[in-house]
Amino acid sequence: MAEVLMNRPPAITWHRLRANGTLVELPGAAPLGDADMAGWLAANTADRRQVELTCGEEAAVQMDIDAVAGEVAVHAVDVIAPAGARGRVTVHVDGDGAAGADGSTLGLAIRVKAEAGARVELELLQTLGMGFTYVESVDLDLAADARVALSQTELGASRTFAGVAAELAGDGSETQIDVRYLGRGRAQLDFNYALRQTGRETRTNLVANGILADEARKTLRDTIDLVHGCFGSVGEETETVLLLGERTSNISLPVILCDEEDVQGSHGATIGHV
Amino acid sequence: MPTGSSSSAARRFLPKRLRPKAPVSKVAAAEERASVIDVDRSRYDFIKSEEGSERLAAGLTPDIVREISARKEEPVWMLEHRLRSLEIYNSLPVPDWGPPLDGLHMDNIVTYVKPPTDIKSDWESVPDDIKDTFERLGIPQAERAYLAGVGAQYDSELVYHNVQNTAAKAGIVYEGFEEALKNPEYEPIIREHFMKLITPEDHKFAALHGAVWSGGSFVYVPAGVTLDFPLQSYFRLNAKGAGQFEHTLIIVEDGGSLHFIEGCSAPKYNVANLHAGAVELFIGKGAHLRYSTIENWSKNMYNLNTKRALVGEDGDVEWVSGSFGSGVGYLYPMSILNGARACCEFTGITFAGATQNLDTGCKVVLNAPDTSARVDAKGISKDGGIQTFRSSVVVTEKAEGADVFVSCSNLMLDDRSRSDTIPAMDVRAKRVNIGHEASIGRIGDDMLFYLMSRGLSEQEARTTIVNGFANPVSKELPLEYAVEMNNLIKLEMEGMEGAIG
Repeated sequence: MAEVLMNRPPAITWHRLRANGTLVELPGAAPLGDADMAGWLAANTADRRQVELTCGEEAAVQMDIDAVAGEVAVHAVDVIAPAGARGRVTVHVDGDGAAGADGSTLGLAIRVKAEAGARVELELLQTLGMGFTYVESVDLDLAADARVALSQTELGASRTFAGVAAELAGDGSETQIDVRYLGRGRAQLDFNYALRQTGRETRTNLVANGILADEARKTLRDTIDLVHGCFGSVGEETETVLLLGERTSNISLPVILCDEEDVQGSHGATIGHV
Repeated sequence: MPTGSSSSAARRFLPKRLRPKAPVSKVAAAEERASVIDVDRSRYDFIKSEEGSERLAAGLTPDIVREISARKEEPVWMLEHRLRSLEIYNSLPVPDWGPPLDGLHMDNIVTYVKPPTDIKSDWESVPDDIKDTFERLGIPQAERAYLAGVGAQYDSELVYHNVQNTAAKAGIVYEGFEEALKNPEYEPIIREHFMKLITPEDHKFAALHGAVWSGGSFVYVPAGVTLDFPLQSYFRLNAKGAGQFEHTLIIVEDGGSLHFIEGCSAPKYNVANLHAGAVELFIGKGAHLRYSTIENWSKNMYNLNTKRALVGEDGDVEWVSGSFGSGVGYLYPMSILNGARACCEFTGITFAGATQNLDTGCKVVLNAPDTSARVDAKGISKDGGIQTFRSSVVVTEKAEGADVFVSCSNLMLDDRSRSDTIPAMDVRAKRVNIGHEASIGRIGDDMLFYLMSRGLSEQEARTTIVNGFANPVSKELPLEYAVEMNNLIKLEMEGMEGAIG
């Protein structure tokens, strides 16, 4: 077992709020380098695939990953989108595993490199059984005028740790992230989004909608980082949480870091019940 | 989709236009309201001689703490509290989540400076230099015009304290904290409440305060008593390289009502000064307290102040906060809503200019049914200033029916400055309605163009827009304080002529 710090945000706050990252024990090999999500994923990656999109014809790639109860497995996928390429990559992670199946852990590490003018849609769907721990890391690297649309749907697993890091270095690049989740039973969902805008006239839009039932617990951190020089950029985030359980726990940390004048940053959050 | 208890929210939050307004000063003539007051920096940035003052050695040791306590002839329990606080201070880490405190060296800070006077109750008895200080700050004039009582602290001690007869006859107590501590009628009350809301374990600078606190005020409002005019405390730190650690304790009993105003300033030095005061507010059932602050410490000041309110059933607390000074600031007034239907409102503005790193905001804990909170915070940064809005909303399992809305707007006036928002929400009840919104941006070119086309210079246009941005805060203050706040904005906005729009 290894102790790993998951989802530390770029800017931390009061420690007693328990939002500055989550320390967990994970099975498998100890992390390489820092004891964080990236380190643990790198240490336990056994399967790496590459998907290269092409210009002209819009590709659609479907991957189904079946997790095996009782095992630790990390799958890495590199999506390469050359200049002008278009395509959609769909990854469905599934596996039976009732609560109590020790050590069932699945990791998914996705890197998307979108060159100038590329258009990439990435759809991630997770429907693991409640016996699983799920670790999902997405890194997005956008060049000029690239567009990446990320859709994440987390419906299963007893523990889900999802981290997305986007680097919008190319002028005019954009990313749209839609997150949907359902927490049931005593599920723990832990998210971290770090959206760093360094190019001019970049756009980010994060929309997170989720439902917490029973005694589910959720922490969602999202950081829009408007770095000096990103003139004309816009960063937006919206979160909506529907509380259905009497003993749920919701922690939200929507952060805007702004080091540039000619930008717009905004966020909104609504948490409530029917 | 999520909905909340909107009818109870409507009942709890009267529109501000329907609320009783703060009393208007007799001296607020029409010509004063209409005139543009010339900005006078010397009003704040003047130094008085320290001749006659007594300074303890710099640093923080048990002997220094004992010396402070001995000078005050305190009860034994207070000395024990101080020494325990010092131990806690030495055991706690410096915060790692906020602005750097590298320039603050406690070995160089003088924690106690006694001015050359004891506390007086008439201004004519106050030594000339000190009296002149407060006259330049407008305190005696304000007292004559519209205040029910004034406390004036100079370095580590109160130098003036007075309360109007009408307030005293109503049973309102407004005393220097140390004087009240020596009063057998008040000492038990103080002991019951002192540092129970802000404990030394809370954070390192709360522990520091517990060890070296000095001066401050004790206020007690009996049940059912309303004070129509505000009480004010003003804190002036004149001594170079010193700290001010006043303690304000206010108890408003059931059904009572009070408006308390505090102001502060200091001359600028090239060494660090430190402010680590504490404000503890206890608000009873159905009681009301408005706590207004205009903070204008000099830019060599580390302002590490802690303010906390505990609100009972059907009680409410209003914070009105204008932060314009200090080089480094950590300031988060906190409200603990501990009784059903208790509520709080926070309205604040922070202006971070050159060399300033101001980390401000608020905290709310909703710990009872049908409690509610409204937060309206604004921030401005310019000339390389760093302004951070930091907040925490915690809704416990006991807070079914909680209703919260937090709004934060930050304005950046140039590309050399920085503005961050770091709000956090921790919700553990189901039937709640929690909303949050924040925005960061710049002055729109269209707004500037419109005002300049009406004959305003660029600086005037920017100042007008910033004043409008700050209006939600200034309109909550008595007129004289709103004018001071607008003056401070004007001070900060100097030099914007020719800035890129």
